[in-house]
Amino acid sequence: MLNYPFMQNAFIVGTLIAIVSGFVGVFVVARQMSFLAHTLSEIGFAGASFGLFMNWSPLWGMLLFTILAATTIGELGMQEEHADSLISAVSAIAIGLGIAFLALSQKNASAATSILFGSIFSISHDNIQQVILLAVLVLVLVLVLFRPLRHFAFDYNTARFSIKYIVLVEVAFLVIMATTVAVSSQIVGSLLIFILMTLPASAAMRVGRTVWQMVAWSISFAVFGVWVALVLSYWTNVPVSFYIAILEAAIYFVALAWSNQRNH
Amino acid sequence: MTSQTKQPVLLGHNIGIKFDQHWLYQGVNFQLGQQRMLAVIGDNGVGKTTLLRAILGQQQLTAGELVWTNPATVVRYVPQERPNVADFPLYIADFVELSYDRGWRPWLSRAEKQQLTHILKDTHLTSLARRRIDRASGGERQRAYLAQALLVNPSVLILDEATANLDNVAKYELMDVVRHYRDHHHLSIIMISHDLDIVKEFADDYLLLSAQDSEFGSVAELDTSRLKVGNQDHA
Repeated sequence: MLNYPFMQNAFIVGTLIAIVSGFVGVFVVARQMSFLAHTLSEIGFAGASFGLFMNWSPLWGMLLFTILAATTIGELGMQEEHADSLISAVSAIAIGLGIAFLALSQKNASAATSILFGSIFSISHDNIQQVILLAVLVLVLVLVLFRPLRHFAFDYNTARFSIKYIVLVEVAFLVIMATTVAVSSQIVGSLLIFILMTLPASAAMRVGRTVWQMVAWSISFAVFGVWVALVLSYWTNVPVSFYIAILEAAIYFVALAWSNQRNH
Repeated sequence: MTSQTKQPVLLGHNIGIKFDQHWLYQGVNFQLGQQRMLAVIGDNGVGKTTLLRAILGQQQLTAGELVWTNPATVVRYVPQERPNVADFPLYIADFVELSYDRGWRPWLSRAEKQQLTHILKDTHLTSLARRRIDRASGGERQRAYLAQALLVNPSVLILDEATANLDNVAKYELMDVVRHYRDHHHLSIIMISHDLDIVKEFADDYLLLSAQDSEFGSVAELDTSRLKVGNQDHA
């Protein structure tokens, strides 16, 4: 299985993406921004089809759209107490735009499915380099900004008074989130992005007792899910994203049940 | 205390705050002396938290000014509510550690670890360091909030109703910790409180906020009869 270059690539890229989204996910879930991750993935869909339309790599279209959206709408949404309506409006526009660009780009249906559901087995060599570069960049950023991000995510009530450049931290965080969304969509597709960004982290929140433990659990859950999913998908020919979705959800439910039981 | 003669940490001069064409209060004067505890009291809705927000630089004054003797004063705020603290099972020590939000190093230096140990001891949390914050009692949680604020050695601590929702024992234990820390470090405290017993026992000065005639003075001279009238719902 691992003799095939496409499987090697899938494992390398998949592992890297799992590490990044598991790490970033802890902050996303702690700051209760899972909904924004979801919206960003829809915006990412619009961006990817825009990329196809412009004859760029879908990844660049996604990066452009998600970062733009994260820095503008994200800021708006964080001030808004009831962001639901804002989010639905933005999602509507994003999905509409995505469909429009797809139709205009005159690409076949397989382009659409690979954006929506991922294409880890057919990832190109150029794409791998881009993903690795972006993933490493995000990891370095998250590590360097670990302290402010931690306070920002886990106790915003005091962080906004104690961190002098809180707006900068917020924007940096949203850009990190947007990049993670764009990168992870390479494996699970834009439709299922929140699986890798929120489920392993949500499970880790039930199990970990320190921020580092949560990060470690979250990354382990994400990496485990991706590896097992890749193997199962290779054997059964069912899409990877299906297995990742099922596995991560199962891990989450087990963690939830485990922590509920310990609480009684 | 003799510290009244020292230069004050913060001076509030003729402060007025207006909301929607309507004055919350005007002509408020007060001072926060070094190592003094200033209680901000007044009716519900008079704008006590708004004044704290102004002191924290999050709210514009409509009139007057706040003068810091040292503009680089480190101020830490302990808010009244922490809605999401029960959402994750962080250890108390890890929650306190969140305050270390500066620098690029993801891990703690030796000095920072020592300071953490010291603060946990001062706030009577040493044996609870590995208790989950979501399982801690109200008093333990308030002490954890306090420890988190004290970790960076602030010169000014702002408490917003820290003792509300605590039973009598926990209330006094918390305030004893605050007073002890104040006495052993260069700390001045501003606290909002509805609890007159706590104010009389622990505060040095008071600022009674009201729409017309706010007054500032020493707690020893506080005329509680006026408060009883103005604060029926807090008695």
